[in-house]
Amino acid sequence: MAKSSYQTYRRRTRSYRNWLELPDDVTASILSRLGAIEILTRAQKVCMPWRKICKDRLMWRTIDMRNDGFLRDYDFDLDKMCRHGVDRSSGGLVDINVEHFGTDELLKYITNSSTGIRRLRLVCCYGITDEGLIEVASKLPLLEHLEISFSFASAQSLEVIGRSCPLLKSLKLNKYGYRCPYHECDDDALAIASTMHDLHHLQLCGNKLTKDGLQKILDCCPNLESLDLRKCFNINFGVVSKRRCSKRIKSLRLPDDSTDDYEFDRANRRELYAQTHCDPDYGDFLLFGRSVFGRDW
Amino acid sequence: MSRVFKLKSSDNETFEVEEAAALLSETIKSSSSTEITVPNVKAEILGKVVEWCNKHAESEDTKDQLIKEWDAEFVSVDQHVLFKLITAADYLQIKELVDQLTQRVGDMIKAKTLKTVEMTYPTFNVEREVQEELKSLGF
Repeated sequence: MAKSSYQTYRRRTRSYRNWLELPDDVTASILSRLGAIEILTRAQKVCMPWRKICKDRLMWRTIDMRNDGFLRDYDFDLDKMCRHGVDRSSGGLVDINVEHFGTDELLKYITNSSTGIRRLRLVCCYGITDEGLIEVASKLPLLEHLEISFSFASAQSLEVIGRSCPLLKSLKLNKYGYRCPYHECDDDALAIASTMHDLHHLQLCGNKLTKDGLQKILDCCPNLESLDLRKCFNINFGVVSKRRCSKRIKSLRLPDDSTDDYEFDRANRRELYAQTHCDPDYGDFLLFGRSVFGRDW
Repeated sequence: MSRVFKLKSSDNETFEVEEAAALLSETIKSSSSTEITVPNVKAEILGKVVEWCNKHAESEDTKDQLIKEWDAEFVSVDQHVLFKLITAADYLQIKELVDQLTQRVGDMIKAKTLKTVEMTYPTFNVEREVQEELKSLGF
């Protein structure tokens, strides 16, 4: 190497060295923000100090398996990856996010070894059934935050979860919203009202509940601070009830409110949004197909 | 009567900080004196940390959109300054600032804009060891 380019190399590497001098817990904080997939496939390969941090069980208290849903683009098995993350947590898992994959067996695997889960997020998990949720509900006694969005969770599993998780403070149950006046259903609302009395935060976008279901929730959940009812097109709010509701609830989002900051808004997230409002389940079915067969389905 | 704290940088410059801003630092909170020397942190960096604390002490609602934008601007610095800010914020144990800074570094890693010698010239042995492990685990 010529002398000047060697000096450049030395100067550059000297200034690069710093990042390994950060305390381990700070580095862990940085790497944990990459999400489990990136940690396992990239971050832990960079150097030995980072590899050591990535193997530490404290890094795996939170497992964020976020991905954009195009499973065919990945060369690896997200289910196996998730189980590996759970193994690395050695029972210390408290917060897990599963998106666009997941089965009842995986749910069982997660809850069998981790008894202290406080936050569980399941988004587009078409392999997880009602029976699967009901079976693991009793293994989530410390659950405080639950999200089941665009998955097949019925009122029955909601009831079992509500009864098994007395500490539940936040529930997000998002579905595709359709303007379909003949499809009203208060089952979810009644399940929530009857079993989840300590809710502080509720997000029910795209639900088919009516004003009656909403009233039941308001009657039975006295601690509700925030309520997101966007795309719940079956609720007819009068001026008076809107005012009464917003007096009680600090943060209220109404059915026709803007979805600019809604995570699953078309523009915010690449999700298929069925245009038809003839068959309410069409959108779910379309997305299911896409998650199984790939984006060209 | 709110106390005034004096923070001294490693190059002997002193910053006066009101109590509300100063107590965002756990290190200062648990210190018995109101005069604290911050080792290894120069005035330029300490000044920025003080600026962040002042901004966050005066805003009551940290979820406010304006302060979010201000915070985003604050962490948009080059990686050398970022490194020094993290070190300072970690020493002073200002949790929210450390969180914002580490989030920024995480974003830079994801976007592949963070340059470290390890990332530019990765160690062959580590990569091979990890590949073998991943293969044995079946993914």
